Amino acid sequence: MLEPSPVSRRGFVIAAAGAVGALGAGGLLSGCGRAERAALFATWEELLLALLPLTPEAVVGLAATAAAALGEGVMADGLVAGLPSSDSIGWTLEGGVSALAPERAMAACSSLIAAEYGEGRVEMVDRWILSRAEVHMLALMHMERGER
Amino acid sequence: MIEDVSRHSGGEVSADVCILGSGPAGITIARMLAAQGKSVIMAEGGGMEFEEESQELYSGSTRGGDRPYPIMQSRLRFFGGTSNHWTGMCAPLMPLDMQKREWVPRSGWPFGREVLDPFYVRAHEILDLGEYEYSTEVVRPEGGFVPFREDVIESRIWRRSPPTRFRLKYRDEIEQSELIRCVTHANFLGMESTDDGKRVTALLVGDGASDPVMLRAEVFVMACGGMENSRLLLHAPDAVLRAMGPSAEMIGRCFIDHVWQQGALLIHPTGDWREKYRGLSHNGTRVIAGICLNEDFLRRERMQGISATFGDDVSPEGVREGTETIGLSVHVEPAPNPDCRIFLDERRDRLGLKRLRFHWRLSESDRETMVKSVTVLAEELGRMQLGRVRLGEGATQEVFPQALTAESHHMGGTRMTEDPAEGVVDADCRLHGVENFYIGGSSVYPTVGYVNPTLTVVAMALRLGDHLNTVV
Repeated sequence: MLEPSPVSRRGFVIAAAGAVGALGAGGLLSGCGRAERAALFATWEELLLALLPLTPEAVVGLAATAAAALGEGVMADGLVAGLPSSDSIGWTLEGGVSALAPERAMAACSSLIAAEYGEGRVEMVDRWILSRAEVHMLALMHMERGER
Repeated sequence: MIEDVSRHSGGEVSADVCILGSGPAGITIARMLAAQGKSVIMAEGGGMEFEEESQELYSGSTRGGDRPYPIMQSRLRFFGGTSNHWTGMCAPLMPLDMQKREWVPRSGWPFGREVLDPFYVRAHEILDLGEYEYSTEVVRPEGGFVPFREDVIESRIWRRSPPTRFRLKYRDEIEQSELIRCVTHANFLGMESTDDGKRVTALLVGDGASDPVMLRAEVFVMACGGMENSRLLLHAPDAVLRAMGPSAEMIGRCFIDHVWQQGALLIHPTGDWREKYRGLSHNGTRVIAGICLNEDFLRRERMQGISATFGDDVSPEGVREGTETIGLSVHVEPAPNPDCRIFLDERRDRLGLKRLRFHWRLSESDRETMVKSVTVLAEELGRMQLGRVRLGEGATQEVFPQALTAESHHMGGTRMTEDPAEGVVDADCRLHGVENFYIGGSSVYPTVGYVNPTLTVVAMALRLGDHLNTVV
């Protein structure tokens, strides 16, 4: 079973410059070394709905399956630390942050995901073949929702 | 000429060559021999049109296999054979398909693709396929196909025959031929051989109503289709089976049909790339485009052959409204499996022959190939931000192979090998150990690649025709 989520539902706003200080204070910040960052989405769920052309119900179901597949003992901070990042995109326990404007940040995020596919880092969840990052984000979403 | 077997009731008919079957292989071989002045008897079990009574002779059992198999619906028993309902998809085997692959047990033809190349060119004329051109540098959409990583995925084309119906295309020619005698309702009833079984001397045929007719020839060719070749050969007399030695044990084994399954392929709203794979033609010949895996990649990953084509729109559960989705049809080359086997049932047909029994079996390596190939495609589409892929349910361990679909490409069963212990015919399609009996059609394929079999059936028939013209 996964550990209870340490991730709060609040705190995800498209933040103005300087907001990352608050975002980063709660835990790990991976990548995105610039000083001024903006949160990409309010929740992991929002991000995944932007990445995957699936219904919200389907994404919730996939998230549960992804979390179950990762098994017991998986910690959120470990998953966050493993997400791909770049100078323009980084991750906190609460989601993505970017030095870029939101519309450009999404393209940069998609590029990171695309690179995962290109390097063959994929996993199968409920027969969907997804990048490992997407699968880990699904698990984070499941934690975020407080579901087991 | 074309005549009914009853005309010769109780008698004998002789020719240089006797061919059983009037499908694409039988007709092609007969025409080649006649063109060189050889006389030919072509014995067709059915009539000139579909008849329920004849088709019923194909009935048999598939109990005991991994899953049922459509042995009745997947073939036709009358003049022209299964060309009466084929769809016309054609492409040559790839060189790797015919090579010995150490990761595919029992793989490898006795010769390479270069041997078939000139026959493929000639087969194109017979199947009305236009010029022999399969290069995607030549046949391509405006702007080219999707630029997948070429060392992983290649676009591939199939040319589409009208489709050629041999019954319609060649009936008049055979009717008017003085050298080809096509005898209809001439069902195989038995075989006569020398005492040592090394030469077949006659075939007994009949319609079950009139008296049997003896067909005598110097050389015999069985070209009755991928399943029936095995069934009828299993009725050979003991002397012939003894002469065949260990190869007799291989009759009916390693039968292969392609399997396919559909996975959902999602296209992002901006993706219009699928149009590149639709509606193509080349100098008036329709072309179907799809993808396959690069041969070096298959070697490196030790995979069997696969191809994928993009099908109709689908509406998979859980996909957001407005998302373009199309079906992805994945076609896999199963590995030769001795337990995938045609043998004889205890029940007999109205002519007294034992009915066909078939155990369709697939291997875990077939499933792995399917999963791995869909994964590779998902990686490429994900890398290019063109879409996401969901594996079809049929390829999952829980239901494999129950939810897969047979493609009705009947291959193997009388496979071609140099070693008599591994197959039934030699590189000339002659029965191991028997001097004058040959097999025509896709039952001789030792391995099958992922392409539709008919173009190779005709190419191989041309090759066999050339050979017979040198020995008769």
